[in-house]
Amino acid sequence: MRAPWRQEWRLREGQLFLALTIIVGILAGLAAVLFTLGIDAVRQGLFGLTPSPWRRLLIPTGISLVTGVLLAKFFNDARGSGVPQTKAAYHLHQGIIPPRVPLGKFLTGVLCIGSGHSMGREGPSVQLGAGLASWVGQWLRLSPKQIQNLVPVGASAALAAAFNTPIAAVLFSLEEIIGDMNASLLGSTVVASVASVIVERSILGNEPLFHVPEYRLVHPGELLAYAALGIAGGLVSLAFCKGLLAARRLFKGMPAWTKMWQPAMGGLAIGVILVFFPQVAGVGYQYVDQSLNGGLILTTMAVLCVVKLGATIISYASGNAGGIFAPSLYLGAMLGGAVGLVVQHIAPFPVASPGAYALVGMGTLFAGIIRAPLTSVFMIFEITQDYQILVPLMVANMLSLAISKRFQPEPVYQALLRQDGIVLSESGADQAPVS
Amino acid sequence: MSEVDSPRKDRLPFRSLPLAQREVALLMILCVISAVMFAGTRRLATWSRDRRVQDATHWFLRGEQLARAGNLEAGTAAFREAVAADRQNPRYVLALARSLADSGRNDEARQLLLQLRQAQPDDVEVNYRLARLAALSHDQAGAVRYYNYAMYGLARVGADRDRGEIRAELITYLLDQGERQEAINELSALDRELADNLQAQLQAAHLADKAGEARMALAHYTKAGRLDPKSAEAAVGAGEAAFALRDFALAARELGRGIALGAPASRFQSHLEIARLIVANDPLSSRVASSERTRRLLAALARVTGRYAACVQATGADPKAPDATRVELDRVRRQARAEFQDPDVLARAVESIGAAEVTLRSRCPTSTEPIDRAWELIASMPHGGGA
Repeated sequence: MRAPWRQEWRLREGQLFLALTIIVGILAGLAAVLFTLGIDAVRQGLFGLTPSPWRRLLIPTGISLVTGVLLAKFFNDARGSGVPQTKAAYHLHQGIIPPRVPLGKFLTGVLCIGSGHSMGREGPSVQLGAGLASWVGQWLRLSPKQIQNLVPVGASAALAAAFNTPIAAVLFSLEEIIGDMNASLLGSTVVASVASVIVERSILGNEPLFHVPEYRLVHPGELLAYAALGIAGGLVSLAFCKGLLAARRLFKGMPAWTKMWQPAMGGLAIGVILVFFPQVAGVGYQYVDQSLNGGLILTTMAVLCVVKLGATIISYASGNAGGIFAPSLYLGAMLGGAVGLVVQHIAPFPVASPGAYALVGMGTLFAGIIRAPLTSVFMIFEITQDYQILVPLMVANMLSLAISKRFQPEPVYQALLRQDGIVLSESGADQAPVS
Repeated sequence: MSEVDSPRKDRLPFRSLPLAQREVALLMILCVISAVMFAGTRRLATWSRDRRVQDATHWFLRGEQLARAGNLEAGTAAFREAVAADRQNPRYVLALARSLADSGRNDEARQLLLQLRQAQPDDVEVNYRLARLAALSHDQAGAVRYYNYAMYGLARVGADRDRGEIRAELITYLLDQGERQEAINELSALDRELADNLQAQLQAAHLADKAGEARMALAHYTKAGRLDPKSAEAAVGAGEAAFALRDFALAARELGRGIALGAPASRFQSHLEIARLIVANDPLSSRVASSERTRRLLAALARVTGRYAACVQATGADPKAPDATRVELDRVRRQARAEFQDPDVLARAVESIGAAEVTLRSRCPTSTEPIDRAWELIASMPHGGGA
């Protein structure tokens, strides 16, 4: 006869899922922190403090040769951002992600971003978190539905730790991965994000990702300037999405035997770019911070915007592992900062400093490229801890999103999946057959 | 835990355990994995942080080296790297802000300093730098506020800077802005907190000079002279301040001493000569016998009359035309010597000679000599030259 206390030990399904949510949050947070530290260590180890031009040319090429082999032979699912793959896993494969995917993503992501590829760490973190969550679910032999439910939980936890923005991470999961803002998983994603951010802050400290001064709308006429930034942001988003898809199509159209060498081709091109513009290497948040604090001049920001756009397209399209989340923020900061400086010179009324425009620009490009407008608003709020800039941000976001949607109806993550032969409905919520 | 498909059951971890215990065991294992991973990640983060701190130190030292060599652009870039590597160190942020300000990138420097100030509102250096930036951008209220914060911070947290040094800068700024009264108020405060050394006293004296506060300047120069009796700067400063206060005896003494100590004679000779002439010729001077007063007055009268005649001749004017100066000089000349024993008569006569000197200076400026200027000053004094 079983003792009564043993009976009580038996966890109910809801309790188990809550416990798992917290554990997945912690694991995903740790994975995201490790990923960040790994990128930093690789970058430091490869480039040192003052890399010579030769080093900047050869390191991305050489490392991409290695990652090319790894990606072609062992971790084919680890290419690119990781967000589209996570969406596909959630919607089409009941959340099943093979354990080699997060492992491969970690390894190739650290090498690609650390070696200077112009890519972000947030997208890969999403796949890492989702992959870990899926692995835990599979290991515990949870039901397919529960495994599927753990995927956005892990994704939001990892994103929360990677970007230090727990609310935006939850919204990103709902908006982008699940595709349903009313999803019943809201509670679980919040719990996991909070657990993850606590872990992240206890390890890395409570230092914000960007140091943003207090910005506000100085004059109502500025809304026109922000609207102009929204339009410019929409056009740049469009150029990025179209360019990325076209370049990827080009690489995909190459003979099959080149697949292993395509990352190295991208690496060589990035190496050449880094010789002249080392500022576009890797995540590049240092320069975003400078732009937010008015530390860059107009020409520099305009040039970096163009070069970063090209470099990210090359890095991503050539099949390297890394995301477009950070590059979209980088592009936005440079574009916004440049627009802000122009406005400062021509506006007949007092205006905010260019840093405010850089901040709005970040949200604008994020809304235009990633197509997650709500996430972008909350992300900027979490970065600044200030509501003052939200109205201009919403104006710019709306315009950017409208332009991007008008000329590129399919969101970029879905378009990337379509290039891989996977079709999702527009919201991503409804499953569509794998083609 | 949910029900598991039976074909898979044999592959379950801890399959020999009852379901209830297995759930807890698996969760325990995950907790242990998390704890181990946490400890490992934390260790890695510490190592990474230590390495970044080392990098930051490297960049900071390099930035300082470059800044010292005058390469502001490269220095700023190095300080940026230092800040990026170790944002927690306010020293690096401050160095970057200073470098940016030196390169004229005031807005960015201000942003950084304001961020620093949020964390350390009483930091003297941060407030001091913000004050300088506000001054540069003509934000007078901001500049005064931050200078005051800096001085307040000195009292609270202390710093390498001297309070007098900051207040002196504030006074200079106020004077440059034409806020003389505010500057004088600050000068009074400076007087109370000034360090007892030559440089500080000289600086305060110069500021008082600039503010037109000759008495305060004289006090500081005198104190400076006491601290270093061989200071030519203190001596001539005191002489000039005394001259402005019309204490010509003191002016003559201090200017003479200052020149003897090595002050440039060309710069101070003129005032020295005038001061000496006033001391030697002032009929209203104290401790002068009445016969000497009369002698001085008559000598001056003779000299100014002669000068008047020369001026009339030089300008080709009609010597017989009615002229108030001539009338007045004639009136003084007609007075009997005995009448000059009366102090009021003597004072009026001095005034008349002084007025004639002023008139002649405007009519025949080229003929003006130090003694003429001396007599103008003698006549303008409310009482004697203070011999």
